[in-house]
Amino acid sequence: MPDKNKTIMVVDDEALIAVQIQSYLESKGYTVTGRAGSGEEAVEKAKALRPSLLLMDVMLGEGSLDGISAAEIITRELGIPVIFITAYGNEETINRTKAVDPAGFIAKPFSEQDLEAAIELAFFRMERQDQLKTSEERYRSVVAFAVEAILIVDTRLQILFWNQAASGMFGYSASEIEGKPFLRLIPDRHHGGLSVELDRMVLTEEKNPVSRTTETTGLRKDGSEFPMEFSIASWIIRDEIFFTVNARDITDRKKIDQMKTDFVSLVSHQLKTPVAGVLGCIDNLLAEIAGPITREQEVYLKMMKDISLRNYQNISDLLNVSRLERGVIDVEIAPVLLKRVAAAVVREHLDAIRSKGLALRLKGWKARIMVKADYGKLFEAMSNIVHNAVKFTDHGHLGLILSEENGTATVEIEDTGPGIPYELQGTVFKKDMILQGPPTPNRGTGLGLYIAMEFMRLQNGEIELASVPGKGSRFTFRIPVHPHPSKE
Amino acid sequence: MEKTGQTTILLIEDEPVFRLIYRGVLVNAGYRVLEAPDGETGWNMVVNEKPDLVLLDLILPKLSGHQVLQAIRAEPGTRHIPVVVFSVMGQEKDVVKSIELGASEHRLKGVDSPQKILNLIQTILKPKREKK
Repeated sequence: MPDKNKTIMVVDDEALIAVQIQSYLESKGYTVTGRAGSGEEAVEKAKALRPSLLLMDVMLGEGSLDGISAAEIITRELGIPVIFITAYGNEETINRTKAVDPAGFIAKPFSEQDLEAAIELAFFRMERQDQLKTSEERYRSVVAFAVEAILIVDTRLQILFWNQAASGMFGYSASEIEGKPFLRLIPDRHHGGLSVELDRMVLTEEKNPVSRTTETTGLRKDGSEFPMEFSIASWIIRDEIFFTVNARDITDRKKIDQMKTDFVSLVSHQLKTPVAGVLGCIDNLLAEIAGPITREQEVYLKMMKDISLRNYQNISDLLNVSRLERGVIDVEIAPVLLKRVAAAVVREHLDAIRSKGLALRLKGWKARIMVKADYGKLFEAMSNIVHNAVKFTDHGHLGLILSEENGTATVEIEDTGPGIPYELQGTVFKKDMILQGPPTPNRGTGLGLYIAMEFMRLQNGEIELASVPGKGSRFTFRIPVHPHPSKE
Repeated sequence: MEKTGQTTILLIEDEPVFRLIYRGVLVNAGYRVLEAPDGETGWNMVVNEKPDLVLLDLILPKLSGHQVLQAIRAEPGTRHIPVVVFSVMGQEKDVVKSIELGASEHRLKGVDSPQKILNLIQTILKPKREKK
């Protein structure tokens, strides 16, 4: 059933034909708003009646406007589509009608079915165009009102399109920048690194339209700079590749990151200072600087010292995890004598090893193995493992075995403690260990192994765990060897 | 200013608890201890008292520990004085900066016990004592 809201106007200089067409259309349920016999009349009535569609005879005897000229005015000024009806199939006429971009073309003589089909097709196309227009409008408004700068560039990285937010961010108007190279928006000194990155993006994007994000510096028209992040995604139209660049000004985010860093070091300082103060007081009391203490007082003081040390370690762990997560940890790789680190680790825990009566087994300590490592990070990673080994092992031994093979140095730290249950062995190096098991006063943050593993990874090393519940654990550290001239 | 032959150590530290702790350890070990609660007072005492060693905190009011260290190293009359930096700031870059600025040692408060710091001070001062 034809849509009553869609109205048709019939234009023919032969009134009889016009009336015939009208009555046929009305019999089919269409609404005919009016008829016109000349080009002038058609334009005038179309303006007044605003039909949805015109059926226009090309040859109009009366008046100076023929059907094509009238249709041109109506289409251009009113946006109303026109179907031409003509007996003349000559090339010139067809070419002139094409210029109007008609909604259809019916050749005389035509059947009623021809007429109906042409009208339905025209209405269908109108609807489709409306939908396209709406969807285009929708996209256009998304792009226009986006907070992010959105640019379209071609494969030579020339800017083809640029939205309002991009003008606000970089200070160029669309007309100033369109056709100019994208690299104009980035300071010269970053071009080298960036073009490699862009090539990589462009090459990989061709097959993979998932966008990548990169951080760089943006350059405004006035020469000022700002921290910028952008992502690129590619799309293909008719075999031509285009890139959509989304750029964000990340000044605020950078500021917040800095504030977080400052905050963490402030808090850690504030938390560590009192603990260090308490520890110092306990140490002095134990050293009997403030006078002699009894055996029993000593037991209490030692307990206080243990708790304070653990407290201090927990604060350090949390600080390290925070730094690891934000990627703001300094690593300096240099040649390090492996046994020097191992000796420092053993010295650190010597008192605890002795007081628990554990045997210390050291193997492979004669070789001068040099490794490429960050001394502090390697020390801390090994110290965390030895700390746990001593803590959980009540009898038997603690072993530190050093070796070197094929450019990799190995430190095995083994104990005869309770071992680690098989179901936990896959997760001990994960940060979420903190969530497992009930908290007990004897537990630390549970972050020590995670920190140890991350510290080793920062030095291109790793830790492997082998543990048999009830028998003990062995943690194997691997780290690249520093090649050195053979000595001694 | 009378010199009793006693070795003098200047403690520049804003936290009273650390002054208490290190004064206790050092006095107990037979040293004469001077104390300054901020960087500026500390620097003036370095110039006026010419201590045998300075035990220096990093985070201080008025002048920071690193600024005091720089001043000591820049002044010909104080350049030779050994300085031990002790801090709760354990980041490598703080330690490296202390050494670059001319500190003899950098130790961590809380991790290194006062006794360890005393041992360190004794090691640094030993050759000097033997000369006397």
